[in-house]
Amino acid sequence: MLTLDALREYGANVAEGLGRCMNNEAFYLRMIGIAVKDNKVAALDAAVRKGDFKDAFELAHGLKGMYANLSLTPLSVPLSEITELLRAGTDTDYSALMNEIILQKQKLDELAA
Amino acid sequence: MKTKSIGRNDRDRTGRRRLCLALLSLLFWTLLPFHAFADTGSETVRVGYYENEVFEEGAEEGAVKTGYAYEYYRKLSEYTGWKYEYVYGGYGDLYQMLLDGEIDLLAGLAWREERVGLIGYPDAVMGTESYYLVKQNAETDITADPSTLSGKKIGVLDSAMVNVLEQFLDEHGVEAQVIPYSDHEQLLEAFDSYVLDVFVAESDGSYVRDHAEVLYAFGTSAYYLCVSAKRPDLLAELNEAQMTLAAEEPNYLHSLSVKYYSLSMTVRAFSPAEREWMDSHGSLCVGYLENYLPYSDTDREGQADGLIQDIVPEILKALGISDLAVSYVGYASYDDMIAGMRDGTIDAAFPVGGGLYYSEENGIYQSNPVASAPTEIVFKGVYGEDTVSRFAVNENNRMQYYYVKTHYPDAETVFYPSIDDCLAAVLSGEVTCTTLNGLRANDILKNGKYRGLSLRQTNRNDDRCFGVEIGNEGLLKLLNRGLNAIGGDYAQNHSYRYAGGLYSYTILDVLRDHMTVFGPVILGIAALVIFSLVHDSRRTRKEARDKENARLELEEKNRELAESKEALSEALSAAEHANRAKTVFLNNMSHDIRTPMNAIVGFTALAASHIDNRAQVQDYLGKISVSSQHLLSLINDVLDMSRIESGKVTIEETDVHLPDVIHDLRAIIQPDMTSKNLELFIDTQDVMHEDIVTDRLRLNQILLNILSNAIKFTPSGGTISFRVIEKPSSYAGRADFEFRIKDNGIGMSEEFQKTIFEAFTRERTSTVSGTQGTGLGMAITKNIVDMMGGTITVRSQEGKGSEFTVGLPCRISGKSAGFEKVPELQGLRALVADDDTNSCLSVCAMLREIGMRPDWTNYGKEAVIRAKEALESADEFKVYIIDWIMPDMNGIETVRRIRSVIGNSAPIIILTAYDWTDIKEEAQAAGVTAFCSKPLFMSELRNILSEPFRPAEPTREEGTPDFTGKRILLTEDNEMNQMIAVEILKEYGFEIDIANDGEEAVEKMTSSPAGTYDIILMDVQMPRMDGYEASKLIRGLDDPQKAVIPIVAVTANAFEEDRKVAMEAGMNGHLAKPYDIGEILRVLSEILRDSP
Repeated sequence: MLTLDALREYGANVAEGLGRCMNNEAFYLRMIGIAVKDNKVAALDAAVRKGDFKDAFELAHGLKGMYANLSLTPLSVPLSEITELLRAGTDTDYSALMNEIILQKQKLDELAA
Repeated sequence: MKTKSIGRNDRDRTGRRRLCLALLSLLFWTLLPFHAFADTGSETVRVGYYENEVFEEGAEEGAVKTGYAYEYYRKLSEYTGWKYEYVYGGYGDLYQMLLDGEIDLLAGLAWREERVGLIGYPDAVMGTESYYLVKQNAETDITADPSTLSGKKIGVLDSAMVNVLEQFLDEHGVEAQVIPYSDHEQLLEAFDSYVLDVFVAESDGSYVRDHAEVLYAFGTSAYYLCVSAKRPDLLAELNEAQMTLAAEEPNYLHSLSVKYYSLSMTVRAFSPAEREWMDSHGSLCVGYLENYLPYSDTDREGQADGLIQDIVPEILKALGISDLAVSYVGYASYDDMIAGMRDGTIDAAFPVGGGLYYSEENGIYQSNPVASAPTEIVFKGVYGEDTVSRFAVNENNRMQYYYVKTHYPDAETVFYPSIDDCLAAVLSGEVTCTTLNGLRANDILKNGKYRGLSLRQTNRNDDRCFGVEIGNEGLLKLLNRGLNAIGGDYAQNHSYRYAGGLYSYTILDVLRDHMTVFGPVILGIAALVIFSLVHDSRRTRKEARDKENARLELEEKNRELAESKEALSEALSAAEHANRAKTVFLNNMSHDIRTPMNAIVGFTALAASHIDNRAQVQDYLGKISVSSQHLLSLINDVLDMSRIESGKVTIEETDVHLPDVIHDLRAIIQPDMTSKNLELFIDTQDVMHEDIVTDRLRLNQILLNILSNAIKFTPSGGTISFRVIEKPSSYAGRADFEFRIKDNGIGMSEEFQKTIFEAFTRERTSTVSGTQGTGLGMAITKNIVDMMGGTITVRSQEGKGSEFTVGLPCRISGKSAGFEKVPELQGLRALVADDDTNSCLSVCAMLREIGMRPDWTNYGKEAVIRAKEALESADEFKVYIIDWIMPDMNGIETVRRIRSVIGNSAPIIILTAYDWTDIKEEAQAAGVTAFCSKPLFMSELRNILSEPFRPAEPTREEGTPDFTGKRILLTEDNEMNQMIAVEILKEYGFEIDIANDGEEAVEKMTSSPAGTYDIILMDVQMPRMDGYEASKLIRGLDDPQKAVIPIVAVTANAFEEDRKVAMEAGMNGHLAKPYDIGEILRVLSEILRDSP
């Protein structure tokens, strides 16, 4: 069950995210529901593995914006980091960052399950 | 088979130990204590492992294994994945086991026709061994001519070597006495006791003798890692592994043999040619190429630097030569160095390279490689076929030219005076590429200025060697012998020491990139140096052709040289001056950057250690945020300065409403003023033109820089006054504005006032004053003022305060309305009460302009009395303008008392520089009609007075803005972000239409009638077309009404850079993601208010 408390525990900055949604709790949770259904993290993972940095950058950038708007900090922080690396086209080992992102997305999914 | 395996004909790998062990094994071993290998998996391979010095050591259970063969096994495992099970024993027994298929691999076997089929030979060898003839030193009649061996006694180990020796003697028709010995000790004893004239040594032998002299190598023998005939599968794997190894690590075997066999007995057994050279030379003069680190350069003291000064002593040490005096001569050009060798100035040159052919052309022998590094192609952008079509070549490094000519015969070459010029040419696109030696490439490209360049390694190594003149065989062999002795990876291992010389400190680089002011100076120096170099080299050639001509020319050149020297020293002192300023700046900057950085690092650590304490973490995060902001502003300053200096800043003039600028500034500095408990006096004087044409952003920047300095340098409780004065201009349609900012802060010394507008200067180091800053603020300000055609001056006294005056000539905007008189106010009286006389005079002047009859006083109490007097004399004041804060009685109290005298008859306006929200109610209750913010401008005064005697609303409304009826085009590719934005915007009355990317936004703007949308909110990073591109296209639409629609950029970065790019793309504002509702509303209301 997705609740504000669960999100707080998860590490989301609920006050900020809620504020951005005009303090409309239902709307905020609905937005998070949409973010949970979004499976672009998998697409990002695939693009990173393929070494397609351009695609990966666009995906990461979009995801970063989405999670940041909802103040889902555990996701937006690593995504922010990977976005900058990808923007520069850095050829490095992305696995640690990707693992973190996938793990946090899983945690979020579990919250909503 | 066992017996045969150690017999003369069948002995593979020779060597004393091997032989002894084989014999021992023959005698004592019938069965071997090897591991049971019943359960060998497919990956486990059984290796026969016999003890053999250097080649294969540690042949017993639990012993540490080392050696050439052992290392080779390990390397193969990397390619095959094999695990080994070691089976120990003597060579002979192991060979038998290989034949029987009881072991799978055995190392060190020579090729024998009769063995083929019995065991499996791989395609590639695992090593090669050379055999040498070594003679008694005193036997002078034995020479390099094989026939001189006739009748001599030659000792040889009873092994495969005997065959090779006999074959050699046969071939040369020599009848000599070949004496086989069963072991090394006997052989060497016979040689030492002069029984033998000559003996045969292997290249891996390790005995050194003073009375021995190496004659020559007479044969080689390859040896193999052999596989049991029963394991064709392993043989196939081995073949594949060896092939891959050869492809991926082509030098592997070579380096392995250097590692294990470099210091052999042959090292110090000099050949006659070498001895002759040493006897006839008491000194060695080595020429080297300058500016070619890590190989060679001349250091500041004029001494040789780089590998050259390590390697020569190292070689002599390895060869045991101590009585040779070594000297070095540096050459700026390769050609000159070669010429120096030919005319005998130097004995050897370093480095030489570019291939053997060109060495021959130059008349030199190349030694064995000192370093064999791959050549790297340096290019810009993407590597393609055309990349290697046009090479920049350093004319002072002929090796590069040779390399390019050899490997890229069809490519065009363009000469430059140095590698830096070559790289610059690649950067500028004059050429498509250049090359760099593998040991140099990475470090050179670390230089910030070469950030745009990429490397691609070629698969061709270009050896860097010593060069000696053809014919100088003795020195060549000495050098080769020495190089073999110190090992092939010596250069590689020591080159890192000189890497630092190839690139300079990064921050300096970054600055240099931006500060084009230093560019011309440096270029000037470079040009002069090149100039003199070119003349130098030209001179040399001409001299050779015609002596007399050369002499005349020499005089001419000397004169020119003297001139250039003079210019050079001038340029140098200018550069030094600039450099000093930069050093001071760097020192200060490093401190200033470190301070907030330390705070960030420190508080981050604290936050991490208190992660469970929310309140504390919140507090730390706040501090981190403040420090980050500060750091960002420092960096922005530095970037700003460099942008100005490189001429990238332009002044963009637009219509500006001066009151907006001033009120905004006041709002920006107010919080700092309040928190520092400073008082602000802000007013205008004679401002008749409020609408001017100027660059609002820059004007803001100028005033803000000065104001923030004033705040920074004025201690708590101080006062800052800011006055805007208009002075009549001598040109029609123009006005001269003067902005005076005065504080009673710490002031500055006379001396500092002279340099305050120079970059990188500060009164004191930040450490002393405790005030942080780049020392760039005033330099930036001065530069902008200059660009805007204005002036800036400062008057200051230490301990008393400073006053900055900015004079700015402006065009008067066509919009600017004339201030005609207001008919209904004609001749009416007004009273101004303000403790600042200038304020009073200024407001009175405006009131007079409107047509009123103003009076003024500095005191609240007097205002009350005047009101009473006026009422009594039946010439009452129709308008009161009262300052909120006056020393004797505050504004509110003054109003209350005036109201008690005059009732509600006249409007009373409170003038204030502060936010009046908190006192609004109290003030209204006291009878205040309206508030007006300081400084008061004519248009504002007129607006207030034009609505006469009607209790007006405060001029500025607080609360939620309402955008009902405004249509916004939201351009955003992410659905979630769209939804959130829609939700926020809807709340404030916007009607929203969505475009999913830039292209769609342009489409919507094109197809819908003008006026459909009031504003566009534009995400920047979008697929198909980004926000910048879309904005540019919209700005270019044919319909002028559509083209000017306000566009607000939305980006994920809050950098000044992004804001600037957005502005350059024609956007009107900038919002950072994630959304901040307050910020959205502020920006949207500001832009919608300004737009028609």
